Amino acid sequence: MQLFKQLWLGTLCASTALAQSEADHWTVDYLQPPPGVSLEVGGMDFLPDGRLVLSTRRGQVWIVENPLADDPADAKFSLFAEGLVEGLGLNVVNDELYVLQRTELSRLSDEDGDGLCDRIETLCDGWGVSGNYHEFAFGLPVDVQGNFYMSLNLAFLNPKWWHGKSPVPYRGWVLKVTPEGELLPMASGLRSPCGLGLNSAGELFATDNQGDWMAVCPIFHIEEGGFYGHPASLDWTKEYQETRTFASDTNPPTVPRKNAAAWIPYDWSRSTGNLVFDETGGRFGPFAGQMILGEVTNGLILRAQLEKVRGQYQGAVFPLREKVGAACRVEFAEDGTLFVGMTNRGWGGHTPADGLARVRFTGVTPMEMLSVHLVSDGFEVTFTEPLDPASIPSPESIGLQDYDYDYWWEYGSPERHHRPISVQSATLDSSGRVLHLKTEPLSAGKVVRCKFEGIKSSSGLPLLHTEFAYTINELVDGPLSTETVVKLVPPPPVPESEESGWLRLTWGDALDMWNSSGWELVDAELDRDDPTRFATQPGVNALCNTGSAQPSDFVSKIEHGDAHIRMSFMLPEGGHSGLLLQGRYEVQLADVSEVSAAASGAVGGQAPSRSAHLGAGAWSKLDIVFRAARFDAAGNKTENALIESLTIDDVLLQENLELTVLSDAALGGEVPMGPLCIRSEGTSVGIGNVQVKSLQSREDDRDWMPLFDGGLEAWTIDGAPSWEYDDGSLYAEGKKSHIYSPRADYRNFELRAQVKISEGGDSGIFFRSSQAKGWPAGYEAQINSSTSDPQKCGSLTGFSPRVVHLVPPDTWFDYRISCRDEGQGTRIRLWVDGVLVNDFFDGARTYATGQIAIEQHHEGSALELRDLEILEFED
Amino acid sequence: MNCMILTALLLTSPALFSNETHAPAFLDRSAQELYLANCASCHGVKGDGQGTAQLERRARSFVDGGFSYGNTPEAIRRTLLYGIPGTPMPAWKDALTEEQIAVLADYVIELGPGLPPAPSNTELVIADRPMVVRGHLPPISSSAETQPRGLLLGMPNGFSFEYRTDDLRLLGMRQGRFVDRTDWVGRGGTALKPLGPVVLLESGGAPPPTFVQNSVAGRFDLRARLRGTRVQGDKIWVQSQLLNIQGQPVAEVEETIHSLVAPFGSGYERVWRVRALDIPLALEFAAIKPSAASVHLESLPQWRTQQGRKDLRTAHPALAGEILWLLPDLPIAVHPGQRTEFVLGRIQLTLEAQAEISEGK
Repeated sequence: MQLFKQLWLGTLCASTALAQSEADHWTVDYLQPPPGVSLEVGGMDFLPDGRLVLSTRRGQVWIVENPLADDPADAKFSLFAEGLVEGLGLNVVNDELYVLQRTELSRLSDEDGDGLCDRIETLCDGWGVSGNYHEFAFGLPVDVQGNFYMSLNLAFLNPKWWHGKSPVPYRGWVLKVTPEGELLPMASGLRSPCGLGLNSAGELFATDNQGDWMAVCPIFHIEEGGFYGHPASLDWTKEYQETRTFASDTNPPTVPRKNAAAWIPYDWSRSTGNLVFDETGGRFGPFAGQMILGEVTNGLILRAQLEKVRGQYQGAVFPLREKVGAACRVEFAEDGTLFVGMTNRGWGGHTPADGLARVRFTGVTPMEMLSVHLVSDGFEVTFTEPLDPASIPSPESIGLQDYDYDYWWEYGSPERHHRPISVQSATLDSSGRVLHLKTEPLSAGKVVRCKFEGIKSSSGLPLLHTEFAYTINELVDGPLSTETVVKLVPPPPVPESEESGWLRLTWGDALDMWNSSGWELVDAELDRDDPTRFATQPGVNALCNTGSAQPSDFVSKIEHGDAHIRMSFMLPEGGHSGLLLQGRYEVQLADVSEVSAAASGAVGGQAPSRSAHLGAGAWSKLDIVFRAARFDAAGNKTENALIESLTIDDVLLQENLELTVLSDAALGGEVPMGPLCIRSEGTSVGIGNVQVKSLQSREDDRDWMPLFDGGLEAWTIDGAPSWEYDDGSLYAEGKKSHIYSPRADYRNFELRAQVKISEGGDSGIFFRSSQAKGWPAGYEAQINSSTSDPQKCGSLTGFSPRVVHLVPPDTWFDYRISCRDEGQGTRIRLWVDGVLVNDFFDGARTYATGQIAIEQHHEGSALELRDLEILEFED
Repeated sequence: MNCMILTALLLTSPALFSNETHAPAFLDRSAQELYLANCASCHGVKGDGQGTAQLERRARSFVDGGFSYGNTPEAIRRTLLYGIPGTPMPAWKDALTEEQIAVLADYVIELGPGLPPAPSNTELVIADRPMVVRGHLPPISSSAETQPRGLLLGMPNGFSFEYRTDDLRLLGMRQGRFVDRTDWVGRGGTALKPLGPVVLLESGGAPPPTFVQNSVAGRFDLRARLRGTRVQGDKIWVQSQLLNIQGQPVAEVEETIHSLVAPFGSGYERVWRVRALDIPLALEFAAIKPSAASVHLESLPQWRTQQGRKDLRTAHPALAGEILWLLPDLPIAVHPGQRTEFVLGRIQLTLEAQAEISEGK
């Protein structure tokens, strides 16, 4: 087979220039877990008899017989253990199986030989688990002495979900566990260190995940006592303990930081998995001794080639194989097959989202950069094949630039201080395989990114991958560096952290706030057999237009003016859709990877500033700050609508873009208020988590009157004394009770208040109501975010329900109620956070006049309500 | 305690206590006859929960569907076999045959609107092998704390036992469906959802350490540290070390726990095998002091038999409390190199049992 391919390539090369594809060199196939099993792989190793054993995030351990079978269907899975609490690390040591759970390192055994684990022994559980959801424990390399290595994720807490904290020992540390079970803290400063690996010299490396204090995903060489940048874990160092110092959330620590051996460019990795070293003796390709890394978000395999320069590791990162899946774990089998354990549940990213892939070298060596070495006057780049001298690009056409990052508490860092580096010469050595790039002087504390165009091997093959990113911690000569790649910068101000003001338009009942047909709530991922469509099953992860052959557009019942809008989306191969702001201005959503007016983030013919496209099947987050067009009193437009900013996955794609072009699907001419609309354009699209925050001015200088002017004294309490009032704020907690306003003749009015309801809490503002047995008789504006009553905030209880969960519990929101007689009936409108969410006409005028009342529904419910005010009308 | 009500209950619900009167088999009778004879007094002739017996809390309406203690035919058979501790639902395993219980389980399911859909794919269902689950557990009671490290032992008979792992304390006992792995969604790490209602709560869900060491210098808490779990046949062994106040291990412990079902109540029996490491230890239970409602097991070795339980009932008429402790002789002497086995039982008396005792007076 191998010989045949080479012959075939040789034949073709003789006649014409060839394109290489990754699949020519590394094939990918997938083993098939038993039906219904979600194999969320967190750890892998081989038993001495060649069976593969893997642990999953579901706390299961599976044994795979025949994992190397030619036909993936011949690999057979059997469940060995379940009931563990995650398994993000696994190792077989001297025939014994060790699994790293979230809460303990355990030895698993089958004492009676029935193929099922019956004994789980705790080797070590000496670290803290506070209960925070993000406290993963990752592992599990073992050195020749039998020591285990593991790392602990920080807890992710307020003020935003991604802020890393170390509430219990040793969150954010790399730890060693001796064979006797003793826990030895090794190094601090990690954030979400998903992958650990040892090289053949026993040196330990760790990957981490970009976020606060972690500019992009790094590869660290872990040294005893080292601090790697995230301050939270410092709380458990001896120095901080002795001096009772606590790490600041926002101010950088003064502890010296270790450098990363490599910072992986954001477009290559956003969630790095684990790492292994290629010790396959060429059975995986030409990269002997180099580091192979899994990548979860982009679903690919990366390669790092590190070298020691003046005592420190640094080096180059390259892509190796795309379109594998959410590669959380990689492990080599004896025959050089790279097993890829996939999972991205809750983390997002490329599909397949779980399962087991095999990446196998076809035996055909690619034309590729083998290694990059820093030399005193530039770089020496070694290729796998001799170069065609005629293909060597002119020095000025070689794209070389360097940049660095910010060291701060913000989530990730943009590349900073981009600087083109001029190449003075590019010369080939006598072997024809080493290209010497002589450059202007390079700087330490930078990442150099290089892109080659046009280079071919002597047999005419182009480069399979044309780029590398080399991290320079030290130059090869001159004074030792005092710079780090990730630079200390003044900490940015802490922004508003509240989620207040956001309306969740697709939570709870996802279709309630929308007019649509052919849209359904499902679990969707790319169909493996036909990636131009989704494979869907009942679920809740995606709203897809897959429910009928000709789905409608998805149009919100609410309208927005100035607004901040967030939404997730996913497309199949070749898929396209669009988000119409106000149902007029179209933001492209498309599976297009080039920067063009057809790519995601393009608006009205204006291409995005760069491509933020993750590929088909990957979820992306769209974030838009929109300003509506302005009109004068006569209805003439005075200012264009504007996109203040548009980001996809935090990458800024549009800024201050005036909107002058209406979509061909626009619902009409330009307006102050219009709905959101997601298009069905003949292909599938998945969306989720659509949220809107109104930025409309809520200034209102009408004569609002406080309703609790004299406190609660004049109000009537019907029920338990569950009420407290203090300076404009009303609190209700305790047994069922209602309070009624002193006046009972309220007829036409608006009411407004700020309201917060507890998890499991239920309340309401009644109006035109009167005391009755059980519950007040009157209209009720519902206050309920999370009870089993389907009528949630924004409902006119019993008349016009809102079953979408617009507002989370324990979150302040603005509630405005308008109750006005119109003709023979009464029109009632409800606004939540400035957005009209309910407009109901009660033709029967069920209640004509009455009291205002507030409800305390049940013990366990807690209501806070402040600034309850009324504006009455004569009519 | 209202003796009138209880008397009425006794009269109208003969099956609750007088196993002997039901000794003849009903094998040749129809399911309906079985139901009318054994169940209808509480659950109503139609299965609507409107029986003639006066109960403190109404019996389940089968017509409305939903079974708190498990909705599969197996779970309902288990409820019939072992009763529901803390409620008037007695155990029928001595009064009815397995076939009769199966017939009745099918019958009460028929009375209802049909079974709810099959368990979600995150629910762990126990078949014939006990299951050990580690995970984050929610507070077992409104006053208890969440347990980031928790241990659930699930038994094929539908009972499960909930421990906190850090110092291995038993928090309570549940009955019914096992557990929903609610940590299998999102990023995980969230608390699991044990599905069976709590039928027995240990010290409000915040129990003291199990053992104290009684020495000439005083009484010292011994902290248990989990060392492992082992499934063997229908038992789960939990292995631990006991640490003294200096944190040094002083003993190795293996514990197994299982449900106890007696006609007058239900609870658990914990069996320990303890081996001291260096010096002999005198162990006592931190929370349990012998009282009127405790029985020294050594004085009643045959108590597991029916006759023994009858003896227990008549020999201890003073059992008016809610918990009956079955205790070994205290303190328990354990020695290095020698494995000492002892048993602690706890029975939550049913209301009827107390009533019967009152009647007995």
